[in-house]
Amino acid sequence: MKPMSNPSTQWLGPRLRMPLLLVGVLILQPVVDHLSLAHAHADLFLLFAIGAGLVGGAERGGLWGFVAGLLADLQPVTTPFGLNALVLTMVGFAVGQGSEALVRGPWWLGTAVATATSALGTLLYVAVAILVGQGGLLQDVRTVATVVAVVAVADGTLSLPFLPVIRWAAGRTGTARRVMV
Amino acid sequence: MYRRSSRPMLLVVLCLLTSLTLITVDSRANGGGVVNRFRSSAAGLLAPVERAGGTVTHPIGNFVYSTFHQGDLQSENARLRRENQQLRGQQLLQPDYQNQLRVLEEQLRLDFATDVPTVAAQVIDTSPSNFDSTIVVDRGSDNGVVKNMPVVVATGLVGRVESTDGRRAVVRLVTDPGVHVAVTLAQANVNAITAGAGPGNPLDLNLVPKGTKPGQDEKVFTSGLQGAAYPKGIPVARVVQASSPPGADFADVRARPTADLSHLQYVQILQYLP
Repeated sequence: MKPMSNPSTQWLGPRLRMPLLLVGVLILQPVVDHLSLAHAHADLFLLFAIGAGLVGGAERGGLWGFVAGLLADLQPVTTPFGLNALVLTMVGFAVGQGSEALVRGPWWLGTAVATATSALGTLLYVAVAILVGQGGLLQDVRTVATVVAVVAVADGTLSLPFLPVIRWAAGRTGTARRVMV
Repeated sequence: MYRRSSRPMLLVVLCLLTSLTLITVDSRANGGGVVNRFRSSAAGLLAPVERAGGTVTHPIGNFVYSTFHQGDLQSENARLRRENQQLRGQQLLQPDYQNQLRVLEEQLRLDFATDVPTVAAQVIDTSPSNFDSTIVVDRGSDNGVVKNMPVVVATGLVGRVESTDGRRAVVRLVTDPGVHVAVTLAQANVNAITAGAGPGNPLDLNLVPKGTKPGQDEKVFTSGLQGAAYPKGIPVARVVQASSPPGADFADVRARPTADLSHLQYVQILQYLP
């Protein structure tokens, strides 16, 4: 399955586009942090892992989720190093596995999948964090519920412009997966 | 290039195992060790990229004049326009400078812990995680900042230093569930321990004896007991809710931080260690 390239973007190979997009995510995340609702905001690293799974399948979803997670772990967080990497690897892999069965679907399916998996991914993050001794995250269930809802809606909305971009970055233009995202 | 792979997901399994190993090593090191040093160094390397991103998101006001204009009159006209623009820019910036000065004065004038040396710092980042209550400030170990130092503004306690590298420090806010502060309720004169309940939520006051009836808006200060992590008398919170549920051993008291933690620009790091 050879990707079709737009001549105007041939100067930037697919191998460079994904890392470049990840740098873009790193730069934009602080901007998104300020657009918070009820002290919660979109999670671009999570959206990146979901997008990578959707356009690249399970293995690439897992790999790019791992890389995005490591980058998220380098941010000023107090959770153990590797926690985001573990969760985003699982999310990218799971989304990639699921998308194998959903290659052909309506245009909105990608956004729906991003919304649902953002919620599940955030819950998974809390669950894994508790397992590795970060029990404080579940101290207030209402806060967790608010964060899950905000992340789901925000990531779902952002997936509308983001999924076409990551599809381009992964060099998926013109393939069957385009129907999906 | 993106052909479907039929081989086992060996790389994904490797990623999972690597993640688990990193978590284990980091947890065992308890904030120190190789992983934490790598994290600090890498975060320092990424900081310029993040700062560059911040710059890109702001509108750039540079105007490029045509190089094809000839003649004295045209060049004089261009020079006057540039000067006019600079003056307009300065005029626009003046209220911003005044506002920054006012914020600095408000946030850095301390009426407590006056005998403790301080380091003024600017907040340069917040945590990208929805579950982490942390900020990053632009002063680190090069400026004498070390782990566990209290961080305050004029209105009260902000948190404590979680980790440092040369030029910056991560501060865990008082609303973080991992931060506990020994406090005294000013009027009721009882001691308690605060526990954060996440961003935007009031602090829980634990170990308040049953039957204690703190007043609404009653101030809560650091107790400064022997060996305490914070000096005595720093305002921490104001009581917003208090009750004594039947059957419970302690009163249920909640208090909102006195410092506005969602709009921090400048903070003071108290060079105080127990």
